[in-house]
Amino acid sequence: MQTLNAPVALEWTVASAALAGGLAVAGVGAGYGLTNTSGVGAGFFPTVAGTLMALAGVLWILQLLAARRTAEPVPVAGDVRESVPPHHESESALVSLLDDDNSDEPDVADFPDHQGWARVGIIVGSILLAALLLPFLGYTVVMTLQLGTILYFVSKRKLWISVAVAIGAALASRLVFEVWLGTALPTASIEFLAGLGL
Amino acid sequence: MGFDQLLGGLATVFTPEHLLFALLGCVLGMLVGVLPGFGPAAAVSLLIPVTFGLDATSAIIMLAAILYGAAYGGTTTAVLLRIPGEASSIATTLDGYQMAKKGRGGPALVIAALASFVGGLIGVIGFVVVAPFSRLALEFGAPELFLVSLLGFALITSFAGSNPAKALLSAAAGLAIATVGVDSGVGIARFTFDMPELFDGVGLVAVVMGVFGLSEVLGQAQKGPLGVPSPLKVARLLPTRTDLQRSALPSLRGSVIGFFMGLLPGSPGAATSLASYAAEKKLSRRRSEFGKGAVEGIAGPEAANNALAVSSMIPLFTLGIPTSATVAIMAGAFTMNGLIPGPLLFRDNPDVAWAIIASLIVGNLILLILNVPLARVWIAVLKVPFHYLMAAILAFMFLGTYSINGSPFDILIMLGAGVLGYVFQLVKVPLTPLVLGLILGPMLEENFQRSLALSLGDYGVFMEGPISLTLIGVIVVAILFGAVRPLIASMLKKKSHIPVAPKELAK
Repeated sequence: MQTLNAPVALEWTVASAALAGGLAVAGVGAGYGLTNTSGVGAGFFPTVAGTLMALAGVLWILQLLAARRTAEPVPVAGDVRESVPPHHESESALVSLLDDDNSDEPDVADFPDHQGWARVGIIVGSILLAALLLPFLGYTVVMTLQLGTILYFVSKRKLWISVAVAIGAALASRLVFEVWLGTALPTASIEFLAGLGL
Repeated sequence: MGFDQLLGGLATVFTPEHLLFALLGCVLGMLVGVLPGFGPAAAVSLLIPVTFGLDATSAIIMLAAILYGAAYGGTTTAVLLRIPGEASSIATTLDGYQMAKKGRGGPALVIAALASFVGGLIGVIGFVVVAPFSRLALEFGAPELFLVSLLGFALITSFAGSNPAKALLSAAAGLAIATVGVDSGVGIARFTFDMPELFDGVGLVAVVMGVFGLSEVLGQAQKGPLGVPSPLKVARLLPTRTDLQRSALPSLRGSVIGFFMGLLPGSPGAATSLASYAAEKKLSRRRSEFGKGAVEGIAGPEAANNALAVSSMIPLFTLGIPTSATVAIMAGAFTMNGLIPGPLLFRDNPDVAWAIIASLIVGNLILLILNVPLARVWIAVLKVPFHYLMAAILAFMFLGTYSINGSPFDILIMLGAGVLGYVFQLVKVPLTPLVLGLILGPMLEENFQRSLALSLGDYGVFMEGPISLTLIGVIVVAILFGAVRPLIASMLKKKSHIPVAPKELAK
């Protein structure tokens, strides 16, 4: 049995999620009502959007199946045609025009290795925790923890440098936003921290 | 024509306050634009919160300046580092870097800035000529407005990326996100899960910052510490008279090419600069110098890029349709500031509309005066270790998103959008249709509901009159073209024997 490499496995996952998510959106959307007395109901557009998502998922899965059937062992499969950014392979302006990814689009990222996933996970996790803890710990503590975590674990800076930069950046940004821009930043709801003015 | 109004717009912009915001925008845009991977779309989305609290005119002037500053930041790194800030700067890299290697980085930057200014100026002149036609769009009723929105949706989805299924997924996801919140027709809360924060829908700024900003940071972080090569020296700044003479006609030709290409859906920047490069290479008597430091190879593409940047705004101003990610973000900024992009802007806020158009000239002028002498300063930004820049950007995004509504919920939205954008990038799903779906979704739904309410549920209302029929015809053609475009492109690739820049690109 053919095993999938990581990029193709991710393509299968996203395509399947698109199909399942689309069906869910369409199903829930239809529940809001497709019609009403004056025309379409609140559920019409969600149903259309969900159906289009599901359709896109089906088309993508068909492409993946076709690629699997026809492809010889290819290191980066899925949509092989897209493995090189189009503007790097274009041979004429016309081809470039027809084959151009929108130039506003970010460059296609290489696929991450285990360490890459870990770095991404730490950043995502730190932002998530920071957002959830913000009302309790306040801006200064949360930002210090977030920046310190990223600098220490993602950027591999020394602990004391990470802590010093994180504290400095948190205090400086607080000063700029509160004093200069007049934006009130949240303070801690925990009494001890609030007592310290954090 | 609108030249009188343009003069009025210039008068509005030439106030110390607006000039200061334009200057600030240019500087901030340059600072972000020189960072590897951060093109104009990412820069504008990151810096939107900077404009909170400003009046609408100042905010849009500043954002337009950020856009230009970021684009020019990409040109600077293209010339001095051989790192194009965005795909449309690739053509500039070919000869700009070669000039810099010969110690002529300064003249290359000045030629690029001058050509950009010419491109921007010609773009604005074209804009002024076309703008009055937006009055025709005022005759549109709800059915026509629905079809125009649908056309924008079909065009951008058909022209985004090289896989129609993935573009459709992105657009549909944007459309689905746009349906979150209380329905404007009957007041039913959709996909809100009883969370009051979602009753008004998902915040556009948070989504845009996540999709274009955070996803880029995650993409950079996954690669680990970045090694940025040492920039070449700027050395002598001013170009010679021969350089100026040689770049004059290419600038004009590039401007014309860029202006018309910008009107196409998707505003294909990379194709435009390559088309201009190809034209100059074909027309030049010094063909052999191309790829080795020909000024024509910088002037043409840079003028084309900038003319395109201006003309790509025309569909937004005349029909309310954004045709690229950057313009879509600008459209979002318009909406946030209480301005309705489209023909109504000229009717209801003509002063603002013309001030924004005039600011496109002023932004270019500021860049011309300010940024070339300061090229060394911008490049110095790259000497700051990337992990500190990344931490600063993340802190800024965290704060910026929080300050939208003073709620951590927006940070979670930004995070979710960032993860979605990052995964989409990994599997090569284009991001522009998602943002466009988010912006055009409410317009589509509102006009669809209104049309059917007026016609008492008769769907024939969408096929009444020549305008509607023409729009439907164009939509069908766009969808069909989008479906067969990858096939045509692959066929042309097999047959094409006209090398434009492959040798240079391969170096």
